[in-house]
Amino acid sequence: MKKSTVLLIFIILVYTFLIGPFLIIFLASFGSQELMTFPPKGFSLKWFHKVFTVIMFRDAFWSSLKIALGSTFSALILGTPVAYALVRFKFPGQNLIEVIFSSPAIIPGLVIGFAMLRFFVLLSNFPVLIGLYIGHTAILLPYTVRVISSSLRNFDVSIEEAAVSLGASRLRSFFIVILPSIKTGIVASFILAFITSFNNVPVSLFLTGPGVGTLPIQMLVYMEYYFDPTIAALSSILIVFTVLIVQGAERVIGISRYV
Amino acid sequence: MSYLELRNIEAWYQKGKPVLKDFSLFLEKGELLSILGPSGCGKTTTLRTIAGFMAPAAGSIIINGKDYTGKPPNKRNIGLVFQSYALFPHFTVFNNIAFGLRMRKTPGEVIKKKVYNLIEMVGLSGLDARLPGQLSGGQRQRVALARAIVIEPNLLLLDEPLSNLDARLRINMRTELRRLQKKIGISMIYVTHDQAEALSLSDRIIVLRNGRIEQEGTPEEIYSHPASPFVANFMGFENSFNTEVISVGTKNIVLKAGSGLVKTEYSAGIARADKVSAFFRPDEVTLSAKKTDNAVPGIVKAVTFQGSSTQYFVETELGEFSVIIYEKRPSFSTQPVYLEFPEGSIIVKKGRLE
Repeated sequence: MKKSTVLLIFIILVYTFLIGPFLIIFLASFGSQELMTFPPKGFSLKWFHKVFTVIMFRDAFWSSLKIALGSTFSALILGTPVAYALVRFKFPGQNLIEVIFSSPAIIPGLVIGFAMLRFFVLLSNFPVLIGLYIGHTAILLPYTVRVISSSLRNFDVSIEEAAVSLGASRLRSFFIVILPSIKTGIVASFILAFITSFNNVPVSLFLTGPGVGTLPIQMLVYMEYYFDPTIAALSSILIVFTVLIVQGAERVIGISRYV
Repeated sequence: MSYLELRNIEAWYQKGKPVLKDFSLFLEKGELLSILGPSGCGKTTTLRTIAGFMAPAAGSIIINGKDYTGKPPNKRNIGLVFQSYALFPHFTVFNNIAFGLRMRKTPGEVIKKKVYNLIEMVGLSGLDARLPGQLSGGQRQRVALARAIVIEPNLLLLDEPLSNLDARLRINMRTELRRLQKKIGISMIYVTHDQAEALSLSDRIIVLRNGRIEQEGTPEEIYSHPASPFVANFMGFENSFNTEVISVGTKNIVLKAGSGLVKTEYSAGIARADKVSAFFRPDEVTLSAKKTDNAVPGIVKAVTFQGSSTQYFVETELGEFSVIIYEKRPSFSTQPVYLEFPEGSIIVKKGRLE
């Protein structure tokens, strides 16, 4: 066989498995039957309509949004000084701190979720929403620290020193000189962290509780009882939503440089 | 008392490995001092210590009679110019230059006047609304210079400011910098590894090696009378050989040169039978096809035509040397020649080279 033929076969295989599943979900969400089938029979938009009428989805969406926004902001506010310290200074225990801050990205999510659950149970009656918010902040920190570190490493230290020598305090020069220069890195880590939180299952699985569920968890719950194309329709919406955000970010700041 | 005094400074990044040890430096008001040395000699550390970005482990920094040793860098009123220009990329030329004045809460009208005055002085008229990304390297360095000067600093520190520019621009900027420094009478410390830059700019030069001052003096002194083999090499005495002193007269010293002898100027502290190292510059010796006085025989191994000059590699009993002759076209090919040492072209230092 010719080299190009082999290559072509590989490309087709890779794309089939990468995009195929999404395509099936996407097409199935337009079916008119009560059970999800592929290929879909008939054409209907009623499942899309139903997504917006199911109360548990609507509540879960708002919870997910609140948690994702809150934990992303917190991870940015906590992660930026950490990244700054790791990049700009040399101090004892630096490697350890670096490892600790990247550990949530390495340790399996289920383990983190379980550990956090045990921890919050000890603090009896800890509010579920706050628990989720803290848990998500912890798993987002590695992303913000890493992405902001990498843009700080590309920032010429002399620029900060120039500002300081001209009379700006370190804190002031951070806000007027460094921050504008690393803003693309911050936007990139915001988007990355937001999507990570919004889509998270393993940690949320343990930390959700009575009355509070995130969207992915409620989707799991829904699927245990129903097998209509509503989930497919919701999935399609989420896929389109994510693709639009990432595409927009790529156009504006070239997010792929940071991921 | 001098305007700036560094007294017995010790500085290190890693404990036990001092970059500067018992380092002292003095600068008069309005003086331009160059610190010259190879990378890793401690010249940038010296600047960072004066600017306050590095706290010395010992010693003190005095400016105009006041102790600055523990002062934070933003309270020192010292202008800095970096090799990378370090302009604020999101600020226009005007705002870059105005930055220091804004930090000092100078009234807007005064800022405008001072900034435009400097923009004109450094030749950037009409570019005030540009961003650094829209400027050439030379223009960026002018902005950096103006930004540091506009705050009327106690002291201006420049860290290899011209090394990112191309050769011709570098020479123009050198002259301009010197003119500007004279005009405003600012005290300046200029760090460089380029001897030509240090020689052409400075009132005084310090040659630094491994955190110690190897030699200090005016450009002329250092150029003609390097105090050590290291400085000699740095000042363009690229050729060297080990030898011994045959005899010492009142005006001359006679050195053994392979199977023959060469004569050179008297130098204090050199005695008969001393083991010495001899140095000479490629362009201070000549070549001749016939045997002449004060010459050693050799063979031209390679010829490189360089335009206004030609470089020859000559192999002799003493080693292989580089010789540069200013001529329109090469006058020797690979052939036997005599390497001739005119009066005073060889300098002699005690001790042998490795």
